[in-house]
Amino acid sequence: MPDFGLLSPIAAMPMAILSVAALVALVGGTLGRRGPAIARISSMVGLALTAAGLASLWADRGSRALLAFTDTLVLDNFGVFASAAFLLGAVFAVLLGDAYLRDHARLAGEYHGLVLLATVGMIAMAMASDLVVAFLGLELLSIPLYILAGLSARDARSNEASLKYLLLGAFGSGFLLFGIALLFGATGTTLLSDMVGDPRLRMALSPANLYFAAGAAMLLVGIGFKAGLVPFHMWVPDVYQGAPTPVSAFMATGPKAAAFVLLFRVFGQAFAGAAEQWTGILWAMAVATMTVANLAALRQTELKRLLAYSSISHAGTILLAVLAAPKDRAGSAQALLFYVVAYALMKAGAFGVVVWLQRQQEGDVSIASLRGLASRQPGMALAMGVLMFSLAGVPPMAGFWAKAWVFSEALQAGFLGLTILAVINSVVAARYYLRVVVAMYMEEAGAADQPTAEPSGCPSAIAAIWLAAALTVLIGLVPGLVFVLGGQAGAMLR
Amino acid sequence: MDFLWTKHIWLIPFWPALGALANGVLIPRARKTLDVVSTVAIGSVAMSFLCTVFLTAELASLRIGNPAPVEYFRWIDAGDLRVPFALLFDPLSATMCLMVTGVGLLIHIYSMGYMAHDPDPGRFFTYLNLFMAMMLLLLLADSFLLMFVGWEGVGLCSYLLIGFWHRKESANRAGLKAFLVNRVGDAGFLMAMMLIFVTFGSLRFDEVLSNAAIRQASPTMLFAITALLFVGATGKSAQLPLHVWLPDAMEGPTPVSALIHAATMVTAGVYVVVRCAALYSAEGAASALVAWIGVITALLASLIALAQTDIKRVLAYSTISQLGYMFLACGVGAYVAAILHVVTHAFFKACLFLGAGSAMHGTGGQTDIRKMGGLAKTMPRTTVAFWIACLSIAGIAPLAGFVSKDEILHHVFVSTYAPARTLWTLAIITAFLTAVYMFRLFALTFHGDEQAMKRGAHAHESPSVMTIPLMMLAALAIVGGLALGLPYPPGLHLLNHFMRGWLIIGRHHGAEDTGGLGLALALAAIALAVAVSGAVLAFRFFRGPYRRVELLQRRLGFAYTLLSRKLYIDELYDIVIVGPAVGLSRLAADVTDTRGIDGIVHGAAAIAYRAGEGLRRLQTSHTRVYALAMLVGAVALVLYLARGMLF
Repeated sequence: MPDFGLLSPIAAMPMAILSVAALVALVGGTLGRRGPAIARISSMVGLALTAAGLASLWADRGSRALLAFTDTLVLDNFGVFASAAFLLGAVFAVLLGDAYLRDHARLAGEYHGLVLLATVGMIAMAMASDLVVAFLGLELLSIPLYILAGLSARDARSNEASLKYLLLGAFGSGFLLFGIALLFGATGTTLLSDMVGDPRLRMALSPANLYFAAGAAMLLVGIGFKAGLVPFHMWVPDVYQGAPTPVSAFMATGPKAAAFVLLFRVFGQAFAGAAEQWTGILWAMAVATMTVANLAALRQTELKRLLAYSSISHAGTILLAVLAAPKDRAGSAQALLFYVVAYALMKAGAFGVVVWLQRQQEGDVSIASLRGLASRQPGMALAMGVLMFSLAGVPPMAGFWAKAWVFSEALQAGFLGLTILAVINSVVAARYYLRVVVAMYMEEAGAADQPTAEPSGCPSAIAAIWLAAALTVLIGLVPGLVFVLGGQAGAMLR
Repeated sequence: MDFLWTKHIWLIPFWPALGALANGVLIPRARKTLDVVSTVAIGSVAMSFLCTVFLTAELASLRIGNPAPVEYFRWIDAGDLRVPFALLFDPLSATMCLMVTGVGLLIHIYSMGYMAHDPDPGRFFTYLNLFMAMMLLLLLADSFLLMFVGWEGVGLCSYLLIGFWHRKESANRAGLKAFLVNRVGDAGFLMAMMLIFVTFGSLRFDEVLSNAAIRQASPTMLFAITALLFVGATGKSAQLPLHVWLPDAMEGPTPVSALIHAATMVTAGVYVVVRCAALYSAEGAASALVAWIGVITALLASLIALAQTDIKRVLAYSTISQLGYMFLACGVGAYVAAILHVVTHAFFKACLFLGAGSAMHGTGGQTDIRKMGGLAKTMPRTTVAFWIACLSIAGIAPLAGFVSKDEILHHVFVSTYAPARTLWTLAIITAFLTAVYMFRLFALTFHGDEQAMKRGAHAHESPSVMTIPLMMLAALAIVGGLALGLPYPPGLHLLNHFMRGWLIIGRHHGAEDTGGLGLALALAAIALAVAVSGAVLAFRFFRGPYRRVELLQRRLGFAYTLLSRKLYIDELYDIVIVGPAVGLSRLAADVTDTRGIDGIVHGAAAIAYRAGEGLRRLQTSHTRVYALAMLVGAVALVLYLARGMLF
């Protein structure tokens, strides 16, 4: 593959811009009264510049991937597209964060700085062509998230979430690192690009190699933890619920997508030759993830926990795209990218509604408190309804196409039984999404459900919700907008 | 061709759609007062009316040819089926849109007064605006498919508005009946659409309705298409044998009856036939079918109207009868006359319904004409408007109803279709009956014997927001006919002039033998004589003591019962269709569904719930449990991946 050589820093430009913006936000946030504004502007400018930088790295049709920094970074449209999806998640985190930072102004620097740093970590994961770089990216993503989860220092639940996430995250990272070491033992390299291309390494990827098998398994534990796959998912509901809601929104969008992008690069691309070895276990994990999450979600009464289980369930569905990758890498990459974009929009919007609701009431947002929302706040109920229908995969929303394409890829790759199980799971999932809609539109508000305060305006949070809902519908009506770009991104993985 | 408005046809249905969106969703419930919602609704229809006027003015200034459809975006693009979202504003849709938005505007204003005491004006105006948007989409669509969207949309709104007072059992039943009967017609329309696509390979008007394309189609296929389209039209326009829903539809609020079930939606069937004039002109048998169904419906409906006692039901049967006239006109190829009657009918029938609504408003919701009477004293404005509309529909010269009906009768008489004289005779009998039942209605409601006069003394005149639209419609019912369709000299027939470029030459156009001025005058004289005698006879008889009326009913015996029971058609349908269908559904619902399918579904749901409960217990929130789960998972993964070496 061609190499950037001395021009390598170009490939790292988006990460560099974002890191600078993060540092400016972190430092600027401490500058007294003006601090929050500086942090906010810095993060917005940083995100905008990074987006522009990513756009300039977008390669023309038919181009080949480029390698940089002695083959440890890969620059292809797949990574660029994925990075853009992470930026989308960060933008929503910034917009929704406004609502939270109103009451916690002195945290503005930390909030913006850490969100941006985590995004840098995600981009590193998406562009990594080396397992060590991927690990660095993962850690750069994780550590800010541990802090963000515990941002509300006086809130016991937030503290608990942070500590739990940190302990389990360290546990997961340990597996990941051990896995990389074992793989290095098996192949003599940590470069994914070598594992794809070098025929000598094919031998090392054979079923006969214990190091490889154990290494791949441990890698799967580490990445599966970040992606929230069963049985490494148990932290998700507790952390999403305990963390400040804008942070939950952020965790549900970018980091999850980053984990899947890495999973795709490792299993869908580098280990594709050994597919018959890992297909079975990923199949089982996909089924377990969807089923466990959906069944558990049925009994949830609290909206944030419900959304947490919903995000686990979606992770199980996205796994289908990874499973299909060895048969049709370009197509399944396209389906995966479309899915993570649609999913980021839906989840950011849905958590946004929780943010908005929490401006009116203290503590947990139960589904019961949504009763009668349609008559109190018809606009907000409509947006939430759109997002719920999209999450359930009802056409013509983006969520429908996301599911449809992943299922179609899985079918083409021969996973008939898995697809049927996934469709059954979608039906089960519709039950709890529709319960939210039913509460909003068909149930009257009881005396206990009345909000304690008038809805206080938080323009940027409301804008974020509407943006998410509108994009969900727009992409649903004109899926080609995203799908064509995703296709160009996937085509470069061939 | 570079006009200001030409490209902006979309604005016409856009405004009411926006109004419906605003009233339905965007305005919070707390702010939905009558003032707000009615202002939004009336404003949106007024905007739509203005846009239509501007577009029509531009269209009229076009000297040559027909305007091309305006394509907005690719709508459906699946294999051979390519349908763009395109709208067409030609003389036909212009005329219909002007009528719909104009009459619609007046009825919207009237509704503001009529619905003043209703608890939910927001819902009412939302539906009404949605109906306007759908109706205009139906009229402006450039393809059968887009037209069908509007077609189904107005059907939905009709259902919603008939059942508007949904706490009333009878209103719900009526809504359901209208919807189900219309489904029969819709099925016909759908099948026609499929056949059109199979035959012509397209659903766009310019590709289907061109003479070149039609010449290549087989006559059998053409007959099937036109006949099935007509089935759709009989459903929507309440013709025999699918007319049964319209009288029941009177359960809805009176402005709805005026707008949807008299002036606009029910004429959609006529519009479809006129729009497809090229197909019908090429296919004689289907045209004959249209003519015969039209005239038989006209006659039977006017007979039934004679014996009804509910003021709105009389008007409903009158609508069915008048729609029959329109189809009769279509059947003999007099398409412009049909459209002229659509327009004049909208004027006088909307006026009649709004007058009836005003009378009901003034008497506290009374609809039984035997218990009304004497309103002429207390409700003078309503009385005058209603009287004018009665004269118009009865066909008294030179009012609008006379002009358009006379034109239809004339075309029927000179038609080259063999049994034209029979058709004409039936139509003139209907004209006589029309005058009789309308003046029976007028006499019983507004005059009556001494007792009736006493009853009317307690009524009160409606507010001006209701009477002013009434007056305006009455004025249109006077001048509308002569203004649009001056019978002589031929050059001054405005509608003919406007539509001349559009008109596809049918069987009876072009070098048509009109029989000269003498025949025209003679026919007009006969029609007028028949109308006047019917009106005078009925008015004098029904104004007298009600005892005489009851005596006559007893004398007529079974004949009267037959008519008052609407020829027992509803009962027949109940036995032949509804009964077996309900029985079958019961079987499916109670046995197959409840015991079979529901059992399985509920069982599965219960299992899922229990499983969820179990999983929830596992989620203990103890970190060590979570770590243990991860460890177990990791061990399982390693064992699985390394299975080759270990076992």
